[in-house]
Amino acid sequence: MTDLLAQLTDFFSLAVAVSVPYILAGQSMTLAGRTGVFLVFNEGVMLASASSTFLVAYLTGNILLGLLAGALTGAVFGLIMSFFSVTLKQDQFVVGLALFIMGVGVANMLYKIVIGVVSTPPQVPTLKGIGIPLLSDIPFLGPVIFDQSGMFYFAVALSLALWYFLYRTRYGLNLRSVGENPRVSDSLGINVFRTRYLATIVAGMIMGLAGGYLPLYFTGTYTPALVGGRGWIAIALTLFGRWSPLPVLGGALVFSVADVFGTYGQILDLPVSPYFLFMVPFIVTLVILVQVYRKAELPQALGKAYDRESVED
Amino acid sequence: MPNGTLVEMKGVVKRFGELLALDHVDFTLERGEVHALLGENGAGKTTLMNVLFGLYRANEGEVFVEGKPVSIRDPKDALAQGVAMVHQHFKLVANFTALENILLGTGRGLQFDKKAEREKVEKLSQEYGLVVDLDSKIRDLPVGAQQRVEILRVLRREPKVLILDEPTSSLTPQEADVLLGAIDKLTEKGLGVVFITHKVKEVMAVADRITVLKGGRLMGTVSVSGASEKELVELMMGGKEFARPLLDPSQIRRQEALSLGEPILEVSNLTVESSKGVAAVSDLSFVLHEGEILGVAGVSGNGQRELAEAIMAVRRPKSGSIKLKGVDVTKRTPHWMLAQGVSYIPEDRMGDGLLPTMSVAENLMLSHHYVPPYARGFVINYEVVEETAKKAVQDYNIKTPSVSTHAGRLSGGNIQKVLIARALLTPSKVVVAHNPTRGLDIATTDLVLKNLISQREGGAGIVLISEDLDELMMVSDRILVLYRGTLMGVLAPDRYDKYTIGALMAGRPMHEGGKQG
Amino acid sequence: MSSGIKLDEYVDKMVPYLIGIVAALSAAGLILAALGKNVLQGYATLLTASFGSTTNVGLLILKFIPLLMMSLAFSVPLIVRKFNVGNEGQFLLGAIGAVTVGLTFSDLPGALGLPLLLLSSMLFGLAWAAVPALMLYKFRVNEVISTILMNFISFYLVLYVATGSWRDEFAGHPETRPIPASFELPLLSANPQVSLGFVISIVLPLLVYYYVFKSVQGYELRAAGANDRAAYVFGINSKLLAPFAIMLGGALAGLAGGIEVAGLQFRLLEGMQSNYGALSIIVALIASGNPLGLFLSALFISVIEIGGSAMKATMGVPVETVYVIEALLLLFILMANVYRRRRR
Repeated sequence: MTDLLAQLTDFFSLAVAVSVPYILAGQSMTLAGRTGVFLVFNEGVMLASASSTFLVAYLTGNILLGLLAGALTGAVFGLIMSFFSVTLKQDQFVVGLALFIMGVGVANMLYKIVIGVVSTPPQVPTLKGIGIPLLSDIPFLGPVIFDQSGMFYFAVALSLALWYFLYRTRYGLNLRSVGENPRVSDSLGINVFRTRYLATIVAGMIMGLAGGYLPLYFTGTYTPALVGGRGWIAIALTLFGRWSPLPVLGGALVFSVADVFGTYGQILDLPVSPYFLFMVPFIVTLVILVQVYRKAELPQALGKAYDRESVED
Repeated sequence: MPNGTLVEMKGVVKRFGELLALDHVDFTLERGEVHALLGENGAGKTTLMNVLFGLYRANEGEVFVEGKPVSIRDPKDALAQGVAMVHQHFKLVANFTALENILLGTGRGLQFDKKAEREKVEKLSQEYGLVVDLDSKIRDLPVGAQQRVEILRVLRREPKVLILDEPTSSLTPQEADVLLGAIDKLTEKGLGVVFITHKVKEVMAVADRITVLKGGRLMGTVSVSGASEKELVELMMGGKEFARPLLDPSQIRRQEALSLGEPILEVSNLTVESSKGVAAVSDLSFVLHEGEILGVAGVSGNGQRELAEAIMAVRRPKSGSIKLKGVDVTKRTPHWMLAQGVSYIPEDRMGDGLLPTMSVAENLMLSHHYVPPYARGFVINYEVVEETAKKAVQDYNIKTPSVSTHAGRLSGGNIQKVLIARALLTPSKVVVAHNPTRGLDIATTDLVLKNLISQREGGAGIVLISEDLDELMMVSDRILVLYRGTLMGVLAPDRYDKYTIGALMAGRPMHEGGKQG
Repeated sequence: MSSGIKLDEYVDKMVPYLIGIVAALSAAGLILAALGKNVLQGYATLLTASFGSTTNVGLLILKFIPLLMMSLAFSVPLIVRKFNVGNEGQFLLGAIGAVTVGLTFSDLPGALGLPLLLLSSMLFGLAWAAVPALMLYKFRVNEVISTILMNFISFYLVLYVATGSWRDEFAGHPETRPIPASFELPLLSANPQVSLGFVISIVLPLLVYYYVFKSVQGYELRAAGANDRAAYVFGINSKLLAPFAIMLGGALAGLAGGIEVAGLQFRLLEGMQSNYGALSIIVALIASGNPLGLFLSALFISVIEIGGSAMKATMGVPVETVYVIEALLLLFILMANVYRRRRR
């Protein structure tokens, strides 16, 4: 019995650790989405910031500087995104896809330039679990929740702060109105453009941290497959969490369990090809999507550019 | 009650392109008075107030607030001067609660002192009798409550002038009473209220003074105590003058006793819900005959769109039936109806009619695109399409650089012409025309009406839904009046009288002998 | 009279693309300079390497064929405003369909087998697209994310097939045994190496063009893309058209996969989708519905892709640099288009 408990503890401990990029990417999308900006560049931005985080951590030996670089990278992409979608009023999907491609290109280009082609991939120091005294000794819950890296607690704290900001403050209310009905917000004196710019840039920063986390946990290396589809799955997560910080936080665990199942499932020695296990997170996401869209509840103005000049009927 | 002129507007002129929307209009508002702006749709009432509220800039004229000349360039200026406006389409966020909407965009600082703010709002609410469940989401509130939220929001700014645009148009009588009670209290406190409406009866009950506009011109300002309903309606309808050109009435209407053709469209007990889930058409029954133009009169928003869409199978009715030549078509598709020879001129040209990024020729072809001669099997014959388009452009005088120009580039009036040409391209059995001549110049209006008449001569039945009573009275063989989606009456030509129809449109049932109760 | 476009209007339309190219190349120059490389040599290599030798021309054509078809696969759903980002997965399924026929019915004569192979690849691609198409139709699920998820599933499916009973024992890399030689696309020319696939990849866009701009169904697609509400009101079943367009895109991408198998790889190979997916998105978005534009953009991108490989070989510049430039090209063209429209 303790063997099963040990296995479950390992499994969920890993799942919680893996949930960090999902939480951060999800909150990033939630923030931007609440102002009406639908981010789809996740996969590319996360890779680009994974690359920049890794390279800065590698060159300076300092993880925090690396994360800072990752956040900055994300912010830059957020800025470009807002320029094209808010000022130039281009289709948000088109811009997002373009930035996704650019992100992937930038990520690998930087890595090749700095590291080049080597036989053994270089490593950076990884994040370690911060064992919270006393609490981390609780069986099961201890290692799973109270012995995670600082980034996990940061992600949780960020989620709570975002929730509070959006739903309990004046600025949050004004911000959400931009995503619901920018025409009304504008007529009430709320600066739609500034709100969207700020939100998208900050969302980019958070996305950058999501990406930056990836090379720092577990293996400490960077590969082009590092994000592995998680950026896209984060979109499904945000839809699942109805663009709301707390459900996104909770939902992240669902997706990360599916995620871990792929790697962990092999150990279970199931009579299926390991490749089918790797498919699990994506199939699970597809199924969840069907349910999500059944009761679509999203900010009313999501994905549409706001044009003050356009004539309403 | 303190006296004094709150607002004075002198000689206001507003043009939209060639259209003269306001023609040297004067208007004053005293402190503590309810001043009604009366007129038909398109008379300029809302335009005048939009100028006062800063949404439009007048081409000429002056505005004074409390005696001082002011320049109001946008709503912010207006609010700073103490002028507030509640529009017909509320500025509310559907997914937020009433309280959230009221507090939206106001105040400083990060935090909300929700309790204090709520108390303030509740106090206002009590003061003016505008009760609302502050924690309900707007989308769950009835229209009357939504309006109260909107008014409360505006009142927080402590305005001196409150402009209400058609405030009772979607209210139940009870909700309207609540509103009028609130207006009383507001004027007691010295606010000036401008009440824009087209409902004569209401105006008598609520206003101190009434200004009547027609076609952008000031017809007169009277005080209520001295006026009668009949006088007001006459002022509103333009009195003696009747600028009707070109079409000779005797050529249009069958002067002999109406001998209606075979029924072609039978609508029975039709109930259709609007997009908000409310019954927009209720238990409506009527018959359209071959060779008849059935005019449908009514103030915009009384179920006309839902009726048109139900007939075209764009919207599925909740109950009731529609029969085309005896065949039940209630559950068909738009494609089927169109293929059967039912044509449509929708009211919402841009949303429901136009393909902006396709050429004029391709737009004309829509709904005919798969039949000969425009198509041979799977392939479209663009030569025929172009020839047809060129002819239509000529016939309807559509101003376009070529038939290949993107239709979205055309001006509003020309877009409308494209839609009409599309509908009347081939002889139809039934034509559903919803405001077909809105925004068109006189020559084109007559062209369109002539085309509808010739379709009628060809045996078609035409449902002509229009807000232009003059037009309806001129070409319709019968007029059906809609109010809140119910049938108020069907009038034969000998009963055509603007006052009678206007009263029905405003919801007042007809009495025998033409007396109004 | 049928085109109604005058010369200066045409030139006006070209301006944003030229600006975009100049801007993107300038950015390329900046990157090269930052890397301490010879900028002029970089430009020369980037733009002319494809034509430097018959081998390179052959490589150019081999890149161009799948890219053009994949761009078609993205462009058709784009007409109804759907983003078929899953063309990569549909491509791979097409490849799976191809080797399925090739390795199962290996005794068939080529004249039967090759068309069967290509048909199979189209069907497999269509089937893979049918899942997100159905999800869109029934549940209104956004196709951007559903098709991308299908991509990831397809990667593992390829691995499964390539390491299964058809695997090539001697290869160091997951791949299947080759298809029989009779199933290969006949060569039209040996040097540069050009197969029948090239002809197919030219003919197909013409067919698609004809379909989209001359047929009834193509008209309906375009109408639904222009205003799906108006299309619906006037009798077009716009709800059905979007899923249909996505499946059509799937068939086209699948065919691209089949041609890649029968004309170049002759087997299913892990990673054979290369970067055609992302590149096709760029090409299609740059061309935004214009058929000639699609052709030219695909050609241009293919040229600089070959140029990029050459730059890596001769100048040590990472190939991903070209990726970044391509993305920048799209962004610059978007920008230039906006400013052009504003100036009117």
